Amino acid sequence: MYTLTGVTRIYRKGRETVAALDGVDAVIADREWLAIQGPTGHGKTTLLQLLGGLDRPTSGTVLLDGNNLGTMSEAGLARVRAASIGFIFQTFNLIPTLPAAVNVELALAPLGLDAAERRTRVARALDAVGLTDRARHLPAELSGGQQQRVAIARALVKEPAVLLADEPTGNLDETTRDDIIGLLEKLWRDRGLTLVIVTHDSTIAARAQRIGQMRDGRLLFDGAVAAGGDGQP
Amino acid sequence: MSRGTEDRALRLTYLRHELRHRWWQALATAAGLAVGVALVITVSAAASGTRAAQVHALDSLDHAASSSAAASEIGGAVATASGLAADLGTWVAVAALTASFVAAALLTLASVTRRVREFGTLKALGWPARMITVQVLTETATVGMAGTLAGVALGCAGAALVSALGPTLTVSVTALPAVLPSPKATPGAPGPDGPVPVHFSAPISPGIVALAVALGILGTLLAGTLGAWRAARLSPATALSEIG
Repeated sequence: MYTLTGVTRIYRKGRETVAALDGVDAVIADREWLAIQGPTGHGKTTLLQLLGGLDRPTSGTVLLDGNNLGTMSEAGLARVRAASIGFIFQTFNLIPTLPAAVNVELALAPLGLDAAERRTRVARALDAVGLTDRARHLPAELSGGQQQRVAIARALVKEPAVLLADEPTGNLDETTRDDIIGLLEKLWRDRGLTLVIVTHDSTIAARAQRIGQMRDGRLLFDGAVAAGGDGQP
Repeated sequence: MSRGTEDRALRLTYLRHELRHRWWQALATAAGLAVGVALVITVSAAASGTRAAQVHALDSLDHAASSSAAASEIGGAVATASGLAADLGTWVAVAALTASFVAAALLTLASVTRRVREFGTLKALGWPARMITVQVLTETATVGMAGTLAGVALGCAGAALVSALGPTLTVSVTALPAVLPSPKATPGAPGPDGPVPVHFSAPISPGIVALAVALGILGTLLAGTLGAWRAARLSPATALSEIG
């Protein structure tokens, strides 16, 4: 699925340069569940943004199914994000003025589906996260857990191959966290997704197939496979 | 139904919800533009009325005064004063419209800035820059059109108010003979035709309305283009890192 070779991302702030990523090499297999842990400011989110085509490496290559995301045009990256990659954010990033169903439907806008197909997919996605009865609610009328479920439905409605989650339970209590991770695990297994989760939470990381540690912009693997993963979603 | 039509329907749903929930921001932008457009109409109409009153007064003077030199001299003074008033009015209108354009552009940019994270999210969902540009332009155009139409209505109402409350001036040639003796006039007596009333009004011509609408559309496009340009060129990673 992903092949990263010598990926470096340097940010410049005035005369200072900061290497958020410093020569990352990694292969993420198709249908793998990878958790990335590490202290704040060591490059976890930057890595996720590069995997999602939201940013480009300063040097090195990020290949998604053989396509180099670093050299792709903006329009090409938008097409990849629209069709193949679902994002889940810590702060949900729902549009506050739109009901849950419209928030989910917006993910289908770039795909040019007809209205009936869009509505069917939105209903199916909301059903998959158990929120059919909240379709008309605004984000402010939903709990944190429900908002994250809407965000998951939005990420999945396009039926992507990859799901990238940045601290998806960071703003949730423990019970809700367990619900959300249970849901993600179920969706990963049922749909054969490649799932990459950035998390501080070792409980969540332990459920992944593989754990990578970000340290000073480098991604390290210990080779251990966690108990929850069997490699066969 | 074509793909474009389908996309448009979803984007219109988005627009409808945006306007419903952020109505006060839309109202502020529309109101700013409306005030500018209304001032253009009212001030232009008042300037047009001033010129009409001047012509009427000059006709009266010309008729009353036998000395063409006197009529020309007095008429020149009236024309200068009237011209100054009309010029001042034009500048007031231009300044008001410029201020309203700047206000509309700043409010649009402020709205885009507040929604940076939202646009970053749309980019993460795969919305290309073109779709985001169209969305912002559609929102701005809707608000701008509403503001322009409200401005036309307000401007017409303002012009009607000026016409209704405008004073009726009296042009008299009583004092002319004392200054410039005229064989037709008797000192201290009213002119041969007596005092001539000149009613001040603010007539609205289609040209004035068309100009105001054109300026309103121009202001909307300027504000919308600025906002759309800012939204479209956002880097998704940067936009998503903004604290919303």
